[in-house]
Amino acid sequence: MSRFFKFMGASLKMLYRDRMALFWLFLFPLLLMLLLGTIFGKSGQADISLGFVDLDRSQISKGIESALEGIEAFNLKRGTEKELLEELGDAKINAVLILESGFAESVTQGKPGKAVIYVDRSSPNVSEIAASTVNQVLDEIAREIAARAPGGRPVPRMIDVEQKSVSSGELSYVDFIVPGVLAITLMTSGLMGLSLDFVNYREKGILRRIKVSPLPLSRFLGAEITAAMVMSLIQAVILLAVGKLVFGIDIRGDYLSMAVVVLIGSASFLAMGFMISSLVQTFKTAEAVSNVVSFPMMFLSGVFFPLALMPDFLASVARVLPLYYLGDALREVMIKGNSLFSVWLDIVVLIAVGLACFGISVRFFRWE
Amino acid sequence: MAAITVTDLKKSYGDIKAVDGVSFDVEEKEVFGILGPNGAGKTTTLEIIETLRDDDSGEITVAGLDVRRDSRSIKEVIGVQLQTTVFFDKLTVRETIELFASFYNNRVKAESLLELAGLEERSNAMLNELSGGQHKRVSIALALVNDPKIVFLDEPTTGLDPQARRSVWDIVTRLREQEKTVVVTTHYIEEAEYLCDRVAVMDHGHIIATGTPDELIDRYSPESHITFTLTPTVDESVVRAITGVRGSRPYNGGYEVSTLTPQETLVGIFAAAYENGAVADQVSMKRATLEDVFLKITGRSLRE
Repeated sequence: MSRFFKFMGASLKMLYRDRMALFWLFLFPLLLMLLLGTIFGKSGQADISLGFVDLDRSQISKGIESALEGIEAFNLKRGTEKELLEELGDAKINAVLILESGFAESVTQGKPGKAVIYVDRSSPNVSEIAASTVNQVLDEIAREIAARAPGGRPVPRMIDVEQKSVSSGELSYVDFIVPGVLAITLMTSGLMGLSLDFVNYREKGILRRIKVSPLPLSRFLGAEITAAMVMSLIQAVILLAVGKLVFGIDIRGDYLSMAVVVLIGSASFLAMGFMISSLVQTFKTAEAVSNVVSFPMMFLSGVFFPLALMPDFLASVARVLPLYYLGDALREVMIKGNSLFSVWLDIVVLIAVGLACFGISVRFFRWE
Repeated sequence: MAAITVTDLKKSYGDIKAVDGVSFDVEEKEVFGILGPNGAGKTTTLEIIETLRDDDSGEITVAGLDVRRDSRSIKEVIGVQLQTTVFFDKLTVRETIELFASFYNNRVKAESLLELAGLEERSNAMLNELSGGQHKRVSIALALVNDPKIVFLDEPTTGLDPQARRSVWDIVTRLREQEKTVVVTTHYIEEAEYLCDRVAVMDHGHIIATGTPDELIDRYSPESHITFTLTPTVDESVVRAITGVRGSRPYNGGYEVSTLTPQETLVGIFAAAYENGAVADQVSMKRATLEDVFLKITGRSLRE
């Protein structure tokens, strides 16, 4: 065991002394996150799209509908309650207003009309704006209508709006980008870090020198991999801490589940890196191949932008890339606070990719 | 008991027979050299003994252990300096020594190795700050971290300047004093002659001669060469008649003669000069070297 820790300690020490590596492992991801978060973080204030369900089908409810249509900030969408709630759940709309049947009757009798507004609690800012605007508008309209109705008399509060929320899990861009950047960081560390070191060690003859010592390969690999995984946890902690301090992202996941996802993701990409380093001859090729693998993944895996914003064929490309599954798992577990079980598919994919890559690396491993 | 026995070792890479039926023994506590030009198969032979490569056929024992069956135990008792290892850039000399020591059950204190390799003052330097000679000394120190019985040094001075080479030789001399068995490969004649108790001369995958440097010279190239000038010049037939001269040729305005009895020939040269009214000058005598042995056996120079 002492051999193991000695080597692991040495690995971490070497990394700590390598300023370039520190930049790429820690500073670069932070800069990326800060940059993306600052540029895109505040630009989410588009029109509010409001689902509208009219169960009352009265003149008054029609009047409310056309009044809402007239408001510029609203993008009105009609449909059944079920459809619209589903869309809200998918974050395609921001709120759903339902006018219950008997709405007109109540209003004309001077009682508050019943309405329900559903908002998406995952994006509290938009929800609040949507709910309060709708409330205000409804109230005004209802007052007017009631005043004009025969025998109507104004009441202090015309509409009884019940506010309900669903969670689409749709995130603000910053919530989205933090796990995304973390996923990218774990990927690049896996593909570019240890595996390139390995090619380097092989080229320099260090692997051969280790082979003539009694240190078993497994111990050596294990120590290096453990060191790399420790680094990945540190990366995750730093990124999340800065994300929270600077952008106030809401971390709902429990730490154990988060660590599990980080470690599985890290291991999976380390294995992929090892596979590359076992298959290629020289450091330069390894570097090039790692770039060729990681760049498309970075942009096509939906870690910078939601898949929903991508054309369909690109979205289907994303689903064959392992980074998509890591990004998804991190988002679900860290930000949305979902359980590991809910991301089982992501985890299975990452483990399968990791094992396959590891198998290939072992098969093609060379000491020199 | 021999420290190492190698019997009929063969190893091919494709059509190339890198090692073609090599046999030799290395005695305990001796410094054994494998001398030969680049591509002779020295490194391949060494690396098979070191358990780094598999052989095609042959029997090898190291410290009484079979190379194929007991490679793990062998690794504990041998120390290896490979020809071209560059170590971790970002570790210091001391850290590198301590790291490699941690791979072994038996460990030597870093201090004593730093002292032996003359690296005390550089112990906190990063590996990438070292000169070529210092780096080589680190790699030799790393071959000693487990206090090995048998030390393998593969071309330990190749590419070093004369001073750095000298300091490596001093380390090997210290190892001899510590009664370690040392196997060293080299293509430098002087190195083999200076360091080695016995030398195996290798060429094209074969060992073509084995023995102490003196034995080899006596066996293959026993003649000494004497050069001199005679003023005024004297006919070569006179020179050829001098006692013990086996061959002669004009050389630098004078002559070079070869002889098995240098002392008598020297006296003969002065006598011949006197008898012919000439003055013998610029007399110098050179005993044969392993270079001449190699030339004699292979017909080629070692340095080509």
